[in-house]
Amino acid sequence: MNQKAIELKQVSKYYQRENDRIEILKDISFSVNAGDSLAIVGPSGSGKTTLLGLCAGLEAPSKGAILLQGNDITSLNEEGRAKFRAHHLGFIFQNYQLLPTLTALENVMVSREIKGMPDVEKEAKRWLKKVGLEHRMTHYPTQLSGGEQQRVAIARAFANDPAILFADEPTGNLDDSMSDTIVDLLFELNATTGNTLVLVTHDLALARKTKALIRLKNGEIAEASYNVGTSL
Amino acid sequence: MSGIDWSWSLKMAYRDSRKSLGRLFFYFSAIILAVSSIVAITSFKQSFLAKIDTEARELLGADMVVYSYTGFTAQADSALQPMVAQQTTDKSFASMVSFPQSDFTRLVWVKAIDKGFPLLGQIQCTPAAAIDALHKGTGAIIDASLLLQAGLKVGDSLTLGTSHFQIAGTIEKAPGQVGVASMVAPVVFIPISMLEETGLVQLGSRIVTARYLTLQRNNDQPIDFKDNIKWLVDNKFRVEEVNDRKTVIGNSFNQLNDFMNIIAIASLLIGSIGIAGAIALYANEKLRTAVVLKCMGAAQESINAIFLIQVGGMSFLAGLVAVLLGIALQSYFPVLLAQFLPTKLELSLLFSAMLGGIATGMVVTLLFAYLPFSKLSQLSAAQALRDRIAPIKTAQTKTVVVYSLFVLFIAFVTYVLTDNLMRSVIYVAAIGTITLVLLGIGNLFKLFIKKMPLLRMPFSFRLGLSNTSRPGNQSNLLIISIGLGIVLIAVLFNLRQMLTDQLQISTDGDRPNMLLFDIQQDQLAGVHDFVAENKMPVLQEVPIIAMRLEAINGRRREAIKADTTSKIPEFALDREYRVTYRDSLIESETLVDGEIGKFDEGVVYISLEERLAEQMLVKVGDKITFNIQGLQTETTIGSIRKVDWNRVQTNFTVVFQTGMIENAPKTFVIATKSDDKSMSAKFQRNLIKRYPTVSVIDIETILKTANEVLDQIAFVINFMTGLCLLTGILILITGINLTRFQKIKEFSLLRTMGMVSKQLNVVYFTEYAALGLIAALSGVLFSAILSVVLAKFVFNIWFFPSLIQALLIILITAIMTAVVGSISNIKLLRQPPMQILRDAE
Repeated sequence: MNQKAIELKQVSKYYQRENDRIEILKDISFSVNAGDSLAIVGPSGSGKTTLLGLCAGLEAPSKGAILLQGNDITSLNEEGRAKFRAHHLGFIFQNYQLLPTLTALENVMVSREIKGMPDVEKEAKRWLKKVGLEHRMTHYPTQLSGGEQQRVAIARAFANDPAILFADEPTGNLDDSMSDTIVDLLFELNATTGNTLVLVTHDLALARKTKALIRLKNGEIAEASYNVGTSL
Repeated sequence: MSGIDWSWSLKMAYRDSRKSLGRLFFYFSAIILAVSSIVAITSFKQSFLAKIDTEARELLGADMVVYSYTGFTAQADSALQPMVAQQTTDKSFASMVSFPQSDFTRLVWVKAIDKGFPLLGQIQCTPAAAIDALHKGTGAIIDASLLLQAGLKVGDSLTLGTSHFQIAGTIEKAPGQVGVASMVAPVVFIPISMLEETGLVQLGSRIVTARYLTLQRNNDQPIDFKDNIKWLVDNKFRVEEVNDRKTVIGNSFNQLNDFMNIIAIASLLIGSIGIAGAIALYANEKLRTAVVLKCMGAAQESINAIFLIQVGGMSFLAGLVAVLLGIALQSYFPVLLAQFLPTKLELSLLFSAMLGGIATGMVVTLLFAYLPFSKLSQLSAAQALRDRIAPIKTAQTKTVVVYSLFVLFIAFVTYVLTDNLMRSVIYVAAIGTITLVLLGIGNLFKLFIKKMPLLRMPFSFRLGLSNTSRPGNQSNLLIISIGLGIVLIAVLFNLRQMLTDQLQISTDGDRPNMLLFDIQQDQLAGVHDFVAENKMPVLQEVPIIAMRLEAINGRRREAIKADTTSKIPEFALDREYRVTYRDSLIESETLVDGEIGKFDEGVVYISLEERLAEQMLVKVGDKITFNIQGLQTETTIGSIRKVDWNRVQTNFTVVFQTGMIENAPKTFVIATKSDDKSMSAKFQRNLIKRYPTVSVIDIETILKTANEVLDQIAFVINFMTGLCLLTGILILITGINLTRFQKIKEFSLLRTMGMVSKQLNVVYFTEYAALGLIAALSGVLFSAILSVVLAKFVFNIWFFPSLIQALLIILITAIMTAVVGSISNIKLLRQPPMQILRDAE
């Protein structure tokens, strides 16, 4: 049996506002095997982004346990979770989230530097070349188009060799043709590196490319479908 | 990663800031200016005091100077003899000088010197050879300003009494000379050998004889001649030693320095508030970077370190620039303060002042960096997934602690600057109060704008006004910085107005505007006739008799001085009293206690001025013994008067009852009035020709001198206040830059909706004009209140600031603020909205 990359056990997330408890996610349980891909879909406000954030250890659940690569990240403090993210996870955001003051090359280098990996510059250049931006290395984010920025973000995400890659609406800000390019690139690199991919999207065409799919509604799993190796 | 990865943080700090280094540095410009003025002031003060320390003997011209109004007796010479290594004597007095070539007359301070003067240091004059001409007995050296006023040149002549002298040169610096004093009575040096020939030395002439001494030394250390000095003091000689001169110079410097300190503290306060706002907004800009790095797994400490390095490094750099600027400023101070300095100052770099400057900048910056950057630790990495980062509230206790530490720090800097705890507390409290009131006005203004029904106004005006209360706008900061600057400038304007008004008012109506003094008994009738010949009235004729104090309530002066617990000031015991006699009050006097004109057989009644009575700790009925030219006279205090010293007339601290001292040798003062300036000048010229020993002082001279002194002081203070206002302007520009991102979005939106440049200009002109207007209005109002209070409690007059001046200040400030604000936005106006949006991303 494949090793589980992600495992959520009865995870809930709620916020206390004065006397009201606002429930964002309720008793979510699922797991994803290493090397598989999962899409989280659902209408706005259904809790997709919160679920992604919890899975990636960006915040702690109110209840339940989350295991990444067999490690219970809910037992870690903020500093521990940051350390875990640096070593095992990668991120791609809808708004690219490149650091505006850094060049494309430096943005990619940062992810390896935080992890303390060797050959920082060489590897960053290799990844930028892979995403077709070898001629834009010294450009700043404001000097790049949206598609180019997202390619830098993808290079950054893969550059630190993450076990699990989280992507939040990776094509949300791009036009159709650029979306296709980015999606192809994302899945191609995912296939090459063999890491686990979790993405949040509105785009059903993109969601269908993953091995498994979770549809959220009002903070609960409304529908789950899967292929081989993914248990929901 | 755990702990701080300093090498990575350093690398990241550089990468993250290199593109915005210029902008970041600009944020620090306000604090740079404030710190530079503090560095300049402290460094200048320390250089000055060090210079005074090393040159005090040269400034005095000797180790010791002994002064006397009556000359040196054989006994006095015997007391001096064992002390002296070298000595020289000069005689000085006030007299009229006339310049025949330009028909100009002026009251001057004549200093008749011997070849040996000064024993230490030298008279610097132009040309240098002028001093030789003086010692040969052929020439006089005069104050450069006097030569200018007379409209003459070196080589022309002057008349003193009955003697004529060629003007051999002008004085640059001489021992005992400070610019301000020479503005009141410019100095004329003549050889002492020619003094008798002038005919100015007559019985009753008020001449100061000064004996300059270098003291006998033992192993190069001056010997302490305590007993000899005591004898001299007990026998009514005034003794001035090197330390006394240092104190006098130090005190007069401190008064000027205090003005500069107040402005520097205000600048530091404004600069600090500016930097607080700048760092808060800078930290806001960095929230996204922090969140992304956090999301990618960077340790919180390393993220904190990045921003600490940026802010700390930049504040260090700003401190260095401030120090360099401070040094440049300091080198300008001797030029700025030339009139007030007794010696030439060389530029000296003081390590302590430089270090202090850098530390001040860093402490203020890091203190204010704590609050915004502490928010970074509270950020959740999950915010990276959101478009907008939710605002984080700072704990109130943290804010209170930071601001309390800031107030303490400002108080500490003030203490270092003033070297006086009480004064530093008063300054901080005063500036703090004004700041808080201005802050309150700023908040009220914003509230007013929010509540005001603006709907009927044109859209551009409405938007401009609403912008002033927009969150994140620097409205309060602008109001405080501009308001504080205006308070300082307007109070200064008002003080000047108060002084000149008072002099002017004092000569209105039938009040005298000219005083003729040092009139001898035998000249009195002639001077009366001369005044009448010139169709001028004799408004007052006042006899003056010189005397010294011997005892208070039977306790001798020496005993009081020896009593260390006595609170009676020494000058009240040692001074020469110039008194008059009459049985009634005059216009400038009010009776406070007792009765004037009282008569009892065998009792000599006097009337004392209120402040002198307080200093002497005496009341009506107490007894004071005077030595009236050798005759001991016991008097009884019959009344106490309040005197308005600000009138151009003869006022006295002690007034005797009539019939008691009339036979003592005396001189007279005649108060008269001339309404015609040219007639007045002619009158003075002819009077001096006929009566060379009589001196004249007229209101024109007083006004002119007062204005010259005020001009000098105002120039110094205006310069410093200018720095303070420049800090305000820098804050304005910084503030606009800081809110640029907010503005860009608004600009693009308005542009997209079709707003033309003209309308946008109106929006921003309105916004900054409104802020400038409210700041100037608050500043002018505050200054008016302060001026009225100052006038009432310090000058004892009612003063209302000029409405035109107030309106002008308000108008100019509002327009200047609007123009600077609009110019800072001009770059945005010239770009298409898309370009702006792309740049803002």
